[in-house]
Amino acid sequence: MSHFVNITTSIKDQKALIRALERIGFKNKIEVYNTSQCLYGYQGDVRPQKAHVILRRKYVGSSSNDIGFEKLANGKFVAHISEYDQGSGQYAGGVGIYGQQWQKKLNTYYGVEKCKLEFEKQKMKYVEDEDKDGRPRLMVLNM
Amino acid sequence: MAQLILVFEWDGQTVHKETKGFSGKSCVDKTKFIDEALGAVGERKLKAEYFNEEKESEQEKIRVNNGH
Repeated sequence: MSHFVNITTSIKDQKALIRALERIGFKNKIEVYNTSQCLYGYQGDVRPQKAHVILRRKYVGSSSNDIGFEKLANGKFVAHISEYDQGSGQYAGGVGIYGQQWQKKLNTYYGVEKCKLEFEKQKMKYVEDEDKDGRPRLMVLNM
Repeated sequence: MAQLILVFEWDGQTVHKETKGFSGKSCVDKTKFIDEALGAVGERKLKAEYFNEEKESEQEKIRVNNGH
């Protein structure tokens, strides 16, 4: 039997989130905590948001704020990204590069890394490449 | 040979899962872990092979019953 399925992803796996962040430039720049920690603004001010996975502002950009991913009670991670760094709100059209496009890219790579972790857990051999449209593709050729 | 192919949309939300070469409904069971790992399954499109195999299975069952 063969079929196509469209699956909606949501970020729940911390390890896959970290691997996705590493893929988009944050290798060895990620702080991970069991209990959520404070996020800091560009002036060193403590922000009301807390997070379990944190990209400190020195790695995010000059004049940037920390970026954090907080694990909620339902197990899903929510991203805390300032409007300045997203280039949204009053900073629309600004220098922020961590807006929707960046978040979509992160979510896409999260999906890839989550599946790879599942394959590795089940000792399945996989191949990763891109399809003709440049989309990430994973193939298990002998299940 | 059974194959699983996943294509990830850049919208960060959609993964297309295609299976090939599985017998019967085993593809659903054997690749269910991907659905569960990623989240909610949306649209499911069954390919022609699915219906063909189901039909063959059904025909075989009828023949066995007629034999009795």
